[in-house]
Formats: sequence, C-alpha cells, structure tokens
Amino acid sequence: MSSAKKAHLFLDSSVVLAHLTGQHQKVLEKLKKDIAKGGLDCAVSDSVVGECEDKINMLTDFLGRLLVEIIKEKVSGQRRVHKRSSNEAIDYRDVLAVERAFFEVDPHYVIKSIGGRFAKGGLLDLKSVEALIVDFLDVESSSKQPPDLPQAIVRLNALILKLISDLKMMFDSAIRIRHDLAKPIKIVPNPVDVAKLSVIGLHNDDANHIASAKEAEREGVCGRAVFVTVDYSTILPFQTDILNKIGIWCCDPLYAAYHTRV
Amino acid sequence: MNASVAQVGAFENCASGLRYGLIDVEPFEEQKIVKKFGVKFRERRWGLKPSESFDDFLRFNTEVVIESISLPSHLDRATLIRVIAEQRIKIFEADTELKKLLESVQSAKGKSRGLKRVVDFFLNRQRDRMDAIFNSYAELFLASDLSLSFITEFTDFHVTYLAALEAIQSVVRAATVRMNLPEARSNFRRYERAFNAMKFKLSPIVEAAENAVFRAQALKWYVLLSNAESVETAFEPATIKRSKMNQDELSRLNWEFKQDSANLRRIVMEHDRAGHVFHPLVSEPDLKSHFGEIVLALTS
Repeated sequence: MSSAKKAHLFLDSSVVLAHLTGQHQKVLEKLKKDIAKGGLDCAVSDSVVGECEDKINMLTDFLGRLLVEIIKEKVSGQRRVHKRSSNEAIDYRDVLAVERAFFEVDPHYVIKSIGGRFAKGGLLDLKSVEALIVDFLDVESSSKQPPDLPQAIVRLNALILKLISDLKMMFDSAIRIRHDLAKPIKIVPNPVDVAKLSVIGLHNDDANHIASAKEAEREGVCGRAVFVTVDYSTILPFQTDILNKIGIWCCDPLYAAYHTRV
Repeated sequence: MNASVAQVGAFENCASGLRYGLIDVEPFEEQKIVKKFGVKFRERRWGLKPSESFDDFLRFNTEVVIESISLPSHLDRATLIRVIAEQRIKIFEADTELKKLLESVQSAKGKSRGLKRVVDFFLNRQRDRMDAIFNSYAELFLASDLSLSFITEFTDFHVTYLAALEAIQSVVRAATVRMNLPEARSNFRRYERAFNAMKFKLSPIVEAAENAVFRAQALKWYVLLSNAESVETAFEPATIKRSKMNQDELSRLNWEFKQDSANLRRIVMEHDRAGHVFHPLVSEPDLKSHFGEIVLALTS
C-alpha cells in the first residue's frame, strides 16, 4: 500500500491544545502509544492550525487586559484606599485585594473582553486565572525580599509571557515546525460538507476541521480519515449525525486507532 | 521603562558582538623574523581576526537600522544615528566583560579556541539575562497600550535566539576540535578548510539570526522612537501609544519581524532534531497546571 493511501488520524484543536498543556493525559498517552505501535499517520488541517493560533493569541490578549484592568488597576486602587504606598513590599493584604478584585468582576467580563465562540459560552474559567495569580503572589510575598507592588505586577506579567512563550514553542515543536505530534495538511474543505455539518448544529470551526478531513480522504491525500477530538460537548454527541452526513467518524482518542481498521 | 532602555543597548550590543566575533572574522597568516638564542627564525602564526573595530561596527549597525524605519518629523535622522551610536558605544565601554572579550578577538589572540569562548560568552549572557529580558518586555507592555500578543513576538524571538546560540555552540564546539587537530595546527590550508566548513554549517543559522535581530531592532526602535520626545531621550519615552505610530509602517515592520523570527525558529528547530536547544522557561508544576487549566477552558 502506498503511503498516500494510509489511514490518517486528523486531530482536532482540542487534542492539540490538550497535548500542549498536559490535559487529558491518560487518553492522549493511549493515543500516542497506539500511533507508535501502529505506525499511524497523524495530521491537522490548516483550519486547526489557524484555530489554535487564534486561540493562543486571544488567550494572550485576554490575560494582558485582565492583568491591567483587574490586577494593576484594582489592586493598586485598594492600596490607595488603605493609604499604603506602592513601594511597600507585597503581603497577604494584596492577596486579599485580588480576592476582592475578582469578586467585583462583572459576570460578563469574559464575554465583553473576548469575541467569537469563546465569548458565547463564557467558558473561560476565571478561577484558574485567579489561582495562578494567588499562587504567584504567595510565592513572591514569602520570598526573602518580597517585591513592591509595581515590581510584582511586572514579574507576574513576565511569568504570563513565559507561559505563553512555552506554549507557542511546544506548538511549533508539536505541529508547525517539527511535527512531533501531527503534520499540517493544506486542504480546503468543501463548502457543501461544511454546510451539511452546520445544519446539524456544529460550530463553523469544527465543521471546517471535520470537512477538511473528509476532503483529504476524497482527494486521496490519505486512505480512511478518522477525526479525533476531546470535545465531549459540541462534537462527540453528534458523531452519528456527522457520519451520516459526510461519512467521517469522529471519536475519542482512546478508540482512534481501532477506527482506522474499520 | 528604564530596564527596557538598558536592554536595548545590552542585547543589541551582544547580538552585534556575536556577529563581530564569530562571522566578521577571517583566517589570517602572519610571518615574522624572531631572534632566539642569537639565531634568526622565521615564525609563522595564524588565527582569526575581524576587519574593523567594534565601535565602527556599532555605528554602521545603528545607521542601517535607523535608515530602515520612518521617523517622526521632530527627530533628525543624522543626529539620531550619531546619538544612538554614541550611547551604544558608551554602554559597550562600560561593559568590561564584553570589551575584554572583543579586544581579544581584535588582537586575534584567541585563535580558533577564541571562537568557542565568544559563543560561550554570548550564550551564557543571553541565558543569564532571560529574566531581565522578560521583565523589560513586561514593563514595556505595562507602559503601553500595545496588545500582549504583540509583545510576545519579541519574547518568543528571544527564546529562539537563545536556542540559536545553543545550536551555534554545538557546531563551534565540534569545529574547534577539528581546527585544533595536529594536522590543522601545522598546515594553514587545512586550518582554513576546517574554519570554512564550520562557517558553511553555521551560516544558515547565523544569517537567519542576523536577519531576525535586525528586524527586532527595527520594530522595537520604531515603537520607542515614534513615542520619543527628543533625540536625547530617544529610548526613554514615559508611555508608548499606538496612536503615535504610523499603522502601515508598524504593520510592515511587524510582518517583516514575524517572518524572520519564524524563519529563525524553523531553521533552529530543524537543525535540532533531537530537541536539545529549546527549554521550557517555567518549570513550577503548580503554575503550569493552573495555566494548563486556563488553556483547556479554550478547548471546550
């Protein structure tokens, strides 16, 4: 069999981002073992690469705004209210100011700050952002020479820049440059397939990713295409409908390798 | 903003120093008559030395960067080139470690082992300065209305540049061994061949690094100079506003920088198939776990 006709696993953006952040570890470890064992080809469509890049940029800008609007302005504001100089070293009172700042956040803050699909669900777990900031302040305020507030904010921003930088470096290594996880495939999805998937309620991005896998199969870029996702709420519940509409099976990483044999 | 200003000189002088000490050097052969024990001997020596002084190199580099960007009308281009070059030379003069290193390159004392010392120096310096670099960009962000994703282009570049230095170090280390083999030490042509082979291997990485450094300089200087009030305080604007920049020029410089920075990353990653030169910056498991959860929220 020529390599062009080999079955391909097309990874969803949710699998790529879970790989980058070490989430869904158990199912992804199983997937990687199966890929190595079966010599399976893993691919991502251009649309997945684009969505991952957009999400990373969106997250970066959101964290930047949050840092300025919630941490810099509100925590500094609390210091002014309590007549504490900004040159004083940070301590537990600043952690409590963070608690207050997050408590006062407009429930629609995420929706107002971020456009698109992300905002519609309002899915960003602000508690994780809050936990990151509190952990950071706890470590800094317990150090031998705790920084003053402006220094702490600079260091927190530098930490966020480092975390983003690590994420992008891993993305380049996994996908864009070294293809450690999957190889990007330039493929234009058929608009008819995209429309069929939209009708059953799939989000446009997901419809594009799945239709791209179908198009790769149709154009002979690969043999059977299987779409792999950890999106348990908006893709996997529709797996039968998707199969019926365009003939692509979407599955959990646990079962991906077995579906290539069908 | 002061840390950010200091980083302008520190990083860019180092990036120029690397090129100066590593690439702008040529093998030379020298013969002189020395008298030992009353007998005249013809002594031959060879090594590597640059073709111009580092001060001249900094002046030239400053001129090229400034010529590549548009400037606000109140800044006189020629004066700006002179003032910035002088500032950079001043920073270099105060940097005793760098000065000592480049003086040894200029006097060609180091021979081929000098190359390794040059690369080790710049790699260690970039590694030691990573925290300061990230803090300086954090300061730049907090003093500006720029988006954080714009700022990450610079920090990503510095991560790539560090990895590029690690890749260069591995090539130079291997080449130094070859250049110091007895066959090469006793035959100038072999020495020159080993040097040229190293240059050939290094040139894609160094050229890409060179381009990316130049684009990073151009973009960062444009951002700072667009907001500068005078030539004297060119790199010390109190705040950075996008509205003070020409959006077309900003987009052009940003696009060129992103292309060259991505190209450098591609070359370095392809060179480093084993994955030894890129290292994660954050290792604390709790912080990584919180961040992973934040990113996961995006995937749902």
